[in-house]
Amino acid sequence: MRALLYLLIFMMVNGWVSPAPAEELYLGRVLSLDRDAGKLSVVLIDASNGLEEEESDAKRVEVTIHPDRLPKNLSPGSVIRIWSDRPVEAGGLNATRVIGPGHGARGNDPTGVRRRLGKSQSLYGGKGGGRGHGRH
Amino acid sequence: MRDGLIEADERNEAMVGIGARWIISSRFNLGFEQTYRWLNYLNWARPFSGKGQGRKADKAGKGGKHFSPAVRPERMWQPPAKPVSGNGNSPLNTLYPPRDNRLLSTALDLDIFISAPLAARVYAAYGDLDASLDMESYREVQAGAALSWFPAPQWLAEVEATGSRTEYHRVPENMTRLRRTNYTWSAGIQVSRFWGSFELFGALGWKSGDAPLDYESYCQTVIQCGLSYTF
Repeated sequence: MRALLYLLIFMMVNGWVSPAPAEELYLGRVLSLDRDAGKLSVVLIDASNGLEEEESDAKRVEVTIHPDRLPKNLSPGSVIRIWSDRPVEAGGLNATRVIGPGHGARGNDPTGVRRRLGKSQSLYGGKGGGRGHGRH
Repeated sequence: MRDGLIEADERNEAMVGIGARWIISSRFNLGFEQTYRWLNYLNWARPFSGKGQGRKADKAGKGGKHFSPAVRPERMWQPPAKPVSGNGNSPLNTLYPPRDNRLLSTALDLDIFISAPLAARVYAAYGDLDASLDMESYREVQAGAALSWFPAPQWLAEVEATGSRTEYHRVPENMTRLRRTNYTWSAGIQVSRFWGSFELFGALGWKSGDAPLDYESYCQTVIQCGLSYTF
């Protein structure tokens, strides 16, 4: 268990210290999408100014991604995260990954069902029973 | 939900809750969840029975076979009018009626999007169990971190470490052989392959910590694999 803890710490530190240098992360709202072509039209959101200001300084950009990598639950209006290996200044984003709505750090789990199943299996820190223990 | 493998844990549950998630920035999400669970146990059991509670196998706190309505025909079964004492006439060796517990939990988590294939979550939770058997009530604080790696679109590997502190705050002062404050540590690793809404997973978990009974500590390793469907 201790070895796993060290591995977790190493991976976290490594992730912070040496992120993939060519990738930028953008936050955007989907305006339209073409699943077959793997193209999205999005308006970028400047989260530091608050989501409500997105339209005041709208930056509409085209995003291309391999169609197989498009999240299935995307629709116009969805707020997404876009990892791109090309900066927006270069004209359009080339996404290596799009993170859809309901997709947190632990994968696609909009209702929390997957996390709860994991808890009942005692993997995610749950004590797996005993007078209601650990089933937060 | 029923946990029929361990008789003392066999129960039905119902839960209501509310959750919210805020996008703080492109790299951070903040989540909040409040849940209220009703844990309706089905069998008579000794105090602190069930998994991770310190009872040895030969006195696993079952108590159910002779007294449980779940395993005996209704017409044959008559519940004892009072708690039934076992060896030593101690409260810890006494069978008590099926518990009717309430668990109130509050949780906060922070998602961190580190790089395209790497994301992390740190979380903290507080739980307050109001047990029908007073001495089993507790307050628990839990904290942990998880790291998720998405090496390919349909693959996910996760590692996680968690620690918790449980305080049995209603144990009578004169009761011995009980540890009121218990610490537990756990870690796990899981690899998943997705096909649409289906997930095939294999997991390995470790857990060690205190148990409230007999001042014993325990360590367990759990290996799992399965197929799940989420919606």
